[in-house]
Amino acid sequence: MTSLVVPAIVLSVSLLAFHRKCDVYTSLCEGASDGLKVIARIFPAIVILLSAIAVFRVSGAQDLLIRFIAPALKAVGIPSETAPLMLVRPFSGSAALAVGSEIISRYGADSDIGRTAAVMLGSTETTFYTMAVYLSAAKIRGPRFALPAALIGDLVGFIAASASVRLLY
Amino acid sequence: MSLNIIWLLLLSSSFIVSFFTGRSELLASALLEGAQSAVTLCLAMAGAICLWSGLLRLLRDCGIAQRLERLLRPAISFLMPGLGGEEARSAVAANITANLLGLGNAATPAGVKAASLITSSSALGMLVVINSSSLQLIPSTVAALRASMGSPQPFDILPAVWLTSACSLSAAVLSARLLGGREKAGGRSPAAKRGDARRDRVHYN
Repeated sequence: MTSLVVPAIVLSVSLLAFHRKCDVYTSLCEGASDGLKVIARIFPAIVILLSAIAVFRVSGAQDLLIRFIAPALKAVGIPSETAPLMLVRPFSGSAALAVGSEIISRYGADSDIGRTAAVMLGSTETTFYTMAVYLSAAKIRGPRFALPAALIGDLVGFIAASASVRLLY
Repeated sequence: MSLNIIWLLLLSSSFIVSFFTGRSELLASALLEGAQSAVTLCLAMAGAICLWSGLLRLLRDCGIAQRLERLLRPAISFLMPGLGGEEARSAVAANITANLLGLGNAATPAGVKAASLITSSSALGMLVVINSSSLQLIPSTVAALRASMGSPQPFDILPAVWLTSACSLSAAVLSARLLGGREKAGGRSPAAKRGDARRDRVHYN
């Protein structure tokens, strides 16, 4: 079923746009060139972070970290291999992408761990960064509840990601 | 910046631990291999990201995004009562629509504009909370990542992503409602007084 969702979206958006007399092909091409800019923008960060992450894994520090947090994660049903991802997720989008890619390539895209990492990446945000950007733009003071509420959301998201992967696949 | 700390923590802890594990001589090659793997990763994801950006551009150029924005207005008024004027409401609608569609580049400017226009502290809190839990319907970057790692069905995580997003968003909104019950609106934020030039910098977030 899910294999049809994306092609169906691509087709229906194109048909709708054509019906609205848009230049479908030109928009697609211009957007693709935007995509290239996105990659150019994240590339430097990914290079720097992946080199640090590789060192972190090879040195054995990552295993140490995982072993240290494993009991707490096990209690709520989160695979401990995703611990590094959860730790960086609220701080940095590109670091999360880098750590996530490392986990997925190590355990396989269709393994439970790989899937859980992907779902975590896809359903949470860079909480601290978002918070900083939006609250500094506001003219009024943000409420104190904002950060704790968002972090509770992240935590529930991590638990739900592990549970839904176990349940659905 | 938090990334300074992440980078230093990763390197220094690796350096120290490697002495105990006896793997110090592996660090140099790991550094270079890690950097090289970024090239492979970005190239492997490039096609999918460009294709998806093309589709998103089409959504905006032909006005489908704007139409969705109008459909969302009532739901927004319900979630954030006392949002402020018409301009604030349309900025919030644009921000949420861009988030749903995964238009990251459009979501942040609209959200920043909305944040600067909102006059109620609790509505501002709700905007930030909603923006810091992912609303994106099709997580295209993650799908591109999965495809680049050889998954035959990169989009088969969709149901799990939707379920998870729904859980984390409701948990965040619910705790915002509960925690915000007693709170009073505050004065101007210190950052707004300073005037914020940092926003224009490139963030390697």
